[in-house]
Amino acid sequence: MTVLFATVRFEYSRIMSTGRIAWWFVLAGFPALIAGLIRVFPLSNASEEFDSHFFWSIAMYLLVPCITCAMGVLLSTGPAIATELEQRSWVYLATRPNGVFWLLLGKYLVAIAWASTAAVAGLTIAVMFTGQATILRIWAGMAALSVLSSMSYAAVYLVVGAIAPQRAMLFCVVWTAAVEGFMSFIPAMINRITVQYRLRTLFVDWVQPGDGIQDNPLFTQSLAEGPWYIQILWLAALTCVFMTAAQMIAHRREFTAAAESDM
Amino acid sequence: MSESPSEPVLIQFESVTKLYGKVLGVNDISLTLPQGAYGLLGPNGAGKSTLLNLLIGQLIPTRGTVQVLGQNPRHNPELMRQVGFCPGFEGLYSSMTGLTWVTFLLEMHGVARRQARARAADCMHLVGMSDGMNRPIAAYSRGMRQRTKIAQAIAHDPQLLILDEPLSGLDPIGRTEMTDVLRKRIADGGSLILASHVLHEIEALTDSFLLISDGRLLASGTADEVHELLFELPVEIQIRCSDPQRLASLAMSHRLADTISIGRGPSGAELLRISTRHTAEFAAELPKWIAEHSLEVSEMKTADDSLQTLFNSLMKIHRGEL
Repeated sequence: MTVLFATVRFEYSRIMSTGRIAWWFVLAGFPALIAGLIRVFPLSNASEEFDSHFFWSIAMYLLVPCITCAMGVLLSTGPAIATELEQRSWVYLATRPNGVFWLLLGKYLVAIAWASTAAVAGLTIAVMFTGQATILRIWAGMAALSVLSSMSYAAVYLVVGAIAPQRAMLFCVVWTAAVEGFMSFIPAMINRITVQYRLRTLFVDWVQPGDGIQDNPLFTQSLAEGPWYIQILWLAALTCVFMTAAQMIAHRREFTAAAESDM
Repeated sequence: MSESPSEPVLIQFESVTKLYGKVLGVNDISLTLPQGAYGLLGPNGAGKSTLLNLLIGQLIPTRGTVQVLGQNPRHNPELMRQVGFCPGFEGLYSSMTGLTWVTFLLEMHGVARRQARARAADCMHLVGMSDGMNRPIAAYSRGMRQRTKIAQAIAHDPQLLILDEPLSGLDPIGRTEMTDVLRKRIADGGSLILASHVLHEIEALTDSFLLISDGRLLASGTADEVHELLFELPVEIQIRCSDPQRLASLAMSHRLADTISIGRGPSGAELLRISTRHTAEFAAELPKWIAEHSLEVSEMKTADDSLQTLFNSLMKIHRGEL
């Protein structure tokens, strides 16, 4: 555990740079800004039957666990290996006992903390603009989803970054759009192994945005059955699988500058 | 160099080949070294770093097996506790201090924070970084970075130090100081493998050499044996003079030239190239010829006084061309 604490402390000190702190505020400000704009410029064609709880729940879900968290961990874990390779610090860490394992685990934990705190901070401001009586339920549900989303997506992006370190960010975005955006809505077995499928189910279960979702055939086909803890177990399992895959890939590959400079 | 039965083996290569796609990194190297200090000598791009990366398990041999201290170095945490590595490139985090960096790397060995910091400070002091260790690495000179790299390699007190060009970027005083640090480790019984393309750097630490070029292990032996090789190899001398044909015939008639060619230099002027194994005799005769035959010599130099000549010649010997 000494090594894990050391790695986390070290990675934490690295993210406390001016640039990364500025990014944290940008990330936290994003949902707050969008929610504020929606509040200031309300939808002009909203009918009398407009369900504001439904609307704000969906908006918060998309803004915070989906975009802010995914973006937050994408910035940290996507290029986790690439940054070490680019600045050629990889070999110092890889030649420590189980160095790669601790390095990836440390980066993963710090990424979760970085992204989920930004998301929850942004959420806290953003929910103020909703003006809903259910503000506490929305906040609590979204805060929990933010942590789960950060944990899961961080593992996903760590794998993508290990497979394609030189184009990690691009492939992470492509993965998110193709798998989490598109595939998670396909009413087949394939969507059960996506993070979004489980998060969406938890969102409906915890925040209860209204009958609109359950009645919508698009959503009914893309929500999982079973209680919330089953969904969390699924997310935990997916996270473990992705983390293990990332570790295995990073261990099996030859990441060394000698391959390029000394032949 | 083969080990005596009583000595534990430091490294063992068995028919090791490393390919990068279709490009050879190292080519069919077989080698057994007992504990001790060794210099890995070769020109840039010879395969030294590839060989070192095979030793620390960062590269997997395409063919053959590598053993370090009797173990496979790939993903071997126990072995990594016994090995310290200083790469040929920098790769240091510029925003943090040297002390923080070395402390962190020690903590990755499982050393508790307080002890790691104290030990890191000792090592930084040992490499002459007491004054600079609390400054950000971004403010370090190249020599200070080199010292910091050496500090992180020795901090966990490894049995085997693997150093890739550890003295490059250091001023003469720094070279002397770091050489002393490494020499003391060797005297204390530590093993060392030092890669360099500078013969003197290795000579200052050990008299055991491994000569590598184009991924091949060309020769191994002591400093005297390497000097002997250097002495016996022909040296190419380039001379720009008023009558190169006359000078060429003189060198041939005195049997002081192995090969002679006359060509054009970059400026278009005639250039005489003499390859000789009798450098001293040639140097003694040349002033006489100049005086007796009224030759005007405007330029004279050896084509390449670096180790590249030695390696080119060794490669020719390896291919049976010499």
